Amino acid sequence: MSSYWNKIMKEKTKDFDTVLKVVARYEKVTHQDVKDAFDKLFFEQPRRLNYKAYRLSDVPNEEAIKLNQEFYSGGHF
Amino acid sequence: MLLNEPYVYSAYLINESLSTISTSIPKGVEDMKTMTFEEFNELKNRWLSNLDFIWLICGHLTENDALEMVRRTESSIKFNKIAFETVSSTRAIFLRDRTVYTLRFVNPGKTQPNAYCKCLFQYDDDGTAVHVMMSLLKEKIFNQLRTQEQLGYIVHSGFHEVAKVNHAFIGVQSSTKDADFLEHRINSLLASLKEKWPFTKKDIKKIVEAKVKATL
Repeated sequence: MSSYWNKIMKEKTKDFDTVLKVVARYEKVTHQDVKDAFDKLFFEQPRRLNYKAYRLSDVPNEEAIKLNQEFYSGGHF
Repeated sequence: MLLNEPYVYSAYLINESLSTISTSIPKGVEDMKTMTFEEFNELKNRWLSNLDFIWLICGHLTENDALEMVRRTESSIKFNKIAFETVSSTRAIFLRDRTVYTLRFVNPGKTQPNAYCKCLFQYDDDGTAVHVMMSLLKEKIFNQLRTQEQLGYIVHSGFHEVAKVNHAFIGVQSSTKDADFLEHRINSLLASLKEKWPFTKKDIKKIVEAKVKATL
């Protein structure tokens, strides 16, 4: 029943103008756009938040911390 | 809900730390001031066109009976005017450019002693290229971090929205490696992809076609 309901909702609430706009945006995406998005998001203008959960038994992993610091300060950004 | 699983708990932390609930709406009003007339009209029309009840009535009854039920129900609904100052708004915390924020917490679960690292990347354009890019990366991320390096059972990536602000994310949960190491492996994967971009125009086309098909 829920899949039937979802199908009905999808059909009834579909705003076709918006759908066509979204499709048009996707169709315009080029290989270069994707590469640029990758560079911008992860390297050139990252706005990044790391959530890190440690186990009770964990001690600081000095080697990984150093490598991460190098990543953030060593020209990747 | 397995709250003692850090990858689940992090979702609560994300909501708490990234979004705030404001009981006043002056900020929203301020945003409206910068809107063009066309943008405002588009927003208004979209909102009004979505303002509709959709009823699903199942059972052994005729169409007329169902419509009568709808008519009676709709006519019995009382609409209360909402006071301007009681409307709450949600907004996302803006992460600054070229800035890395880190939130650390200890997973106290002794039965699920897992470490977890989730890296979120905020962006504020329409995100079409990012959506395609994250769909492309999904398999690479999974293949490298889970299949090749066997860091843990849970490796996920994608994008989601917090108060209309888009976020791409990569997350790994591990029972054998600590969170610093997981962060390092995520960084290392990103660096290797930057150094040698493995995707072709054909790969992009395939993803775009799938996205279009899913949208229609």
